[in-house]
Amino acid sequence: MQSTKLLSADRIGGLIWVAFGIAVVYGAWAMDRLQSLGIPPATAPGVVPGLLGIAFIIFGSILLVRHESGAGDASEPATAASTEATAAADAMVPAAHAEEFDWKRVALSWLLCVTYGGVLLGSGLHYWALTASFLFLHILLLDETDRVPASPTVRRLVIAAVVAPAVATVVMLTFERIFLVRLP
Amino acid sequence: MLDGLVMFGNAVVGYLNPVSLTLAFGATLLGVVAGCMPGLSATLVITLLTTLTLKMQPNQAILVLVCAYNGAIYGGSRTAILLNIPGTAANAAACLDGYQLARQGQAGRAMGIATTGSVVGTLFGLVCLALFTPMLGEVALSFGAFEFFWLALLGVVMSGNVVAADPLKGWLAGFLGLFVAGIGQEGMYAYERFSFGNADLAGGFGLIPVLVGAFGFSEVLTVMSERLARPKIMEFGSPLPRIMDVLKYWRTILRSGVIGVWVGILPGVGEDMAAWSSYATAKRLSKEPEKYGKGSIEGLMAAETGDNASVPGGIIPALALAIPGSAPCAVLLAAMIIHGVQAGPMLMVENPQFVYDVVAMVLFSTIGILFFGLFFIRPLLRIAQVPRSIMMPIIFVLCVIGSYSLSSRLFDVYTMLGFGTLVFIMRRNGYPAAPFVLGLVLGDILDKNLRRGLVLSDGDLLPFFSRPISAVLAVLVLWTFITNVPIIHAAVLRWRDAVMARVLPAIRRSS
Repeated sequence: MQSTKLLSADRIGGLIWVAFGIAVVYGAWAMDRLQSLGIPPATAPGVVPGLLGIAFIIFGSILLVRHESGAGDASEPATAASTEATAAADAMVPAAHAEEFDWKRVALSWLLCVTYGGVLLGSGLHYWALTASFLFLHILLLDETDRVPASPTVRRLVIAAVVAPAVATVVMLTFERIFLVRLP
Repeated sequence: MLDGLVMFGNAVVGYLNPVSLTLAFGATLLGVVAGCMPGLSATLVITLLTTLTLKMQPNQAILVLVCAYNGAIYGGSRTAILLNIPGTAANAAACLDGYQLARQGQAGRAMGIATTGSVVGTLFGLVCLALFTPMLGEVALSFGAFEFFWLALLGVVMSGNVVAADPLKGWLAGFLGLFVAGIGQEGMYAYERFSFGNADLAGGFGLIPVLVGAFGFSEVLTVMSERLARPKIMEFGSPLPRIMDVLKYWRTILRSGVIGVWVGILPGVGEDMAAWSSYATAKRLSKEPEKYGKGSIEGLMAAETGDNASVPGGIIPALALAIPGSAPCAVLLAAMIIHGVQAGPMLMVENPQFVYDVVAMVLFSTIGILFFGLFFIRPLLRIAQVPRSIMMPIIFVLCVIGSYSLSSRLFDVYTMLGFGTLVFIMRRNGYPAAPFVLGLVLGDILDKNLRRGLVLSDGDLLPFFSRPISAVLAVLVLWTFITNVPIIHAAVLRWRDAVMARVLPAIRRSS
């Protein structure tokens, strides 16, 4: 099941890499070769990005072709040198780490983080209030043992209400007073 | 040799002052604590500490980073043994036998073995660091642009090959890192590449914000995407190591130390592979392989010796060649650059004392590991039980302010958020972060040296293949690629099995 999912993702991945590679090659080709400065063509700024773009196209195509032919095996170990160690790791990592992936949790966490760091920070809101609010909401809404959405318990509410302002204060004072950073 | 000893002595004496000792042991403790916490990788710890140590003196900042790095690799063994959760990826191998020993009521003994293995492994690596860095630096003095180009490429290719379950994805991640490193003004003619007229992009992406995103924000998202039942700590006895355990398995310890250092030296491979390789080799050569996975003292010793020996091992190429041996070393190298330490072949000529300073730093962290490992078990485990749902948003706040504080611009925060999201998605789809980071660090070296080489050879590619060391490195890069072609890969495996079938019985008899 996991392998099928990965193979399907590989097809999309292969297409993205090929498209990205084409864009990079085009960008590198269109770059100024600085011939007016008498610079040898082999050392033009676009050489390395161009070569990398070609590599993206080649490897992306292999990913795509491998998927189409069904030859790919995402879990296949790499080389003779690493085979045994990788196989041991694959076979013997305890089941405790095979945790269930929860998209709702990660989406909520990402949304909170991006809203805090990418949207509200630097928009004029006070750093301490913003940081404390972010921490409070994140701790309240995302408990590691629960699914999302979970109803916040009184205990979690108390923890969030204590931890969030305390951490925000420590971080603010540390960076403002000790590291002399002008906070956003 | 004598000069080296004198410089090492000077370095140790130089750090014997209250401030340095507090920083060394404090950072080691911080590393051990962070290592104990599942979800906080050694790379994340060093990346965050890099942002916190920017205003410190270079030697003190590097001291903090080296001690925290070594401590974090060790700290993960605590939770691996007691909770069956590796604190860092490097300790996954320790789960197998460590947790089984704990279930058999020998948790204290297992922790003693892990501490012994880590300390002996680090000390072995430390000796190698002191001996081989100057030697490698001397050899590297003969390297030119051609050799450095191949070294940088080899680092990315090898890292992608070994770290990823699928080498193709590892290479793509590595090449993406190389590409991202090239955005902004390039080093030869100050031409702006892929900046699209944006003033922020013209300066390129800051290394530290990208690293904080790749290892901080993506890790926060990874941890938050999982649900985990809170484990209970079981009872344990005395963690004091037994001399007999060390004496009985001295061959395994020595072998694992050699493997750990060697894997550490390989560009971009890392501590987890060192632990697994040491474990797999110890099992293959053991007289009692049936005990592995069921509480083998030898297996736990091999894994913990291997991963900690790879820490100084990984620093060797970082100092001598400016090619990091692992992802945490890549961050360490970036921190050195920020603090004005120019790693590479000229380091032994211009600033040889620094190499021995680093050796002394590793020594202090080892002493710290021994002390905290034996006497701080219960407090450490209390800290390890702090819920990750509380730790992760705090880590994110530090990621944000750490990225911002570098140059007080919000663009660095956006960079961190963007690359954190990208690396998270890539990791979910099987693209590892380590080759990406290595590509990012090595991008400038590869770009400049390829074009410098082409200037020197007047556009001729032949010197890239005809110079002896260049030719060897080129063959290694090519070999890494072609051994992943399925038919060749199968042939190599058959050949290896045939050789091992002949050699193994003889080795087992001799040991």
